[in-house]
Amino acid sequence: MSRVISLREERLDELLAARALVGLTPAEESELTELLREFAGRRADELDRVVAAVAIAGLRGSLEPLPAHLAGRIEAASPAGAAVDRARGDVAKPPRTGRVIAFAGWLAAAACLALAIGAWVLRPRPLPAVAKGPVELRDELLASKGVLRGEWSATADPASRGASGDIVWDPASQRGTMRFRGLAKNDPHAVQYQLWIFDKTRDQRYPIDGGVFDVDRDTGDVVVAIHAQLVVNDPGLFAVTAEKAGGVVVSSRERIVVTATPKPI
Amino acid sequence: MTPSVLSRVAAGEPAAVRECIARYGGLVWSLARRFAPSDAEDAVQEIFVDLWKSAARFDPETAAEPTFVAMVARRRLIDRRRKDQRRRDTDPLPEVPPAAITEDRPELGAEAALAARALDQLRPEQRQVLILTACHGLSHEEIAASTGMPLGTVKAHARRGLLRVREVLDAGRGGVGPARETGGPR
Repeated sequence: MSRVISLREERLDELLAARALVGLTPAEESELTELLREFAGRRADELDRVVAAVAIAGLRGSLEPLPAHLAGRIEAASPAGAAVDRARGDVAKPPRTGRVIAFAGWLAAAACLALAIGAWVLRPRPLPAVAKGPVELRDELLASKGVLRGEWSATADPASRGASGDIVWDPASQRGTMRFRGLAKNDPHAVQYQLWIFDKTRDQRYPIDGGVFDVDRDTGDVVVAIHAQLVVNDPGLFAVTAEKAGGVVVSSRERIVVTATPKPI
Repeated sequence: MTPSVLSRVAAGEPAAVRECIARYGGLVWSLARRFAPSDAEDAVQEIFVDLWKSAARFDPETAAEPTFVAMVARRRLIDRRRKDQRRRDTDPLPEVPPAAITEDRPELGAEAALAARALDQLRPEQRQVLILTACHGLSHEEIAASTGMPLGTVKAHARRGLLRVREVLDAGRGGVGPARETGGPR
């Protein structure tokens, strides 16, 4: 009997995990509802928090800033009373006077926000996509021992015409930078550059994702910090591809833009 | 104790809206770009509408604020994916790296740093499955197809991996498992 219960609970855990990770089909929802009746105290959303924390952890080093125009749009559409007021319906409601004051506060705020939006859109974004100071990081790494460096070689891809620069990688700290000169500016809504690191100790079909980045200067002169998604044991080649916006999990390698072979300095 | 940004949003504090967008915009945007690359902008706007509506439900005793934001974001993104069954033609990442998330984005919190540590303790296959689903929005079927793992194995990795991460998170919160009322470590 206990074995049967164990299998049922295992199935419950599986459904809870699937619900939190990918969502359930209607049939699975029904099955979960039935199992939750059987296991009092278990909750349908009990793994949601865990998955959310995993999602944040999985994004480490590859967070992209919210585009400024989108931030402005979201703020402009933010609650001027109604949405927040509805949300408050889920919890204990404050005294009526408090609600009036809060509502009036939102109305006044909406007027202020309308004036502030222009300045807000132009405000420097506080969330850079890469760690601060890639130029400083590059200088620091070049002054360190055991660091690898490689010059970029352009390919036939039009984006790399006239491009140069280098890769600097510190195997000890697993940090590195890419410097480019003359790399074509990209439209981040359509195409983004993505770094791949070919680790000699790993399957060459699956190079390590080094993160996506943009060249937003007409000169094509940028320094970008590397955010490798895996530990790089023995880097044999760094390659930058042009991919769809947001990058890809595995590149088709149709557009290899530049490559560099790292060597000890 | 300083009120959380979401509490201040729920209280109708205008500056909190700006602060919330500034603090979590990158997180929401990065998730949306992975789940819905073709219409990430629409997805992000929907997520923030959800966030404004659910801000009053945020309870710092049950989840860290960044985690709550990611929960809201993922729920919306999953709903969108289920409505729009288009699938991306991708293969999986093999594993995820050990790294200190707090070095990159301290505002994303200690809970995520704990999760990162927990991920690093998992078997590579478990870690791979969790990252591909939690972060990139791939289905179990997609992972099975692209890795060659049997579907049941993918599901088992997901379940065992998540339970292990939960153990670490619960332990990190002083043994209090807010979303778990029975079983598991305390």
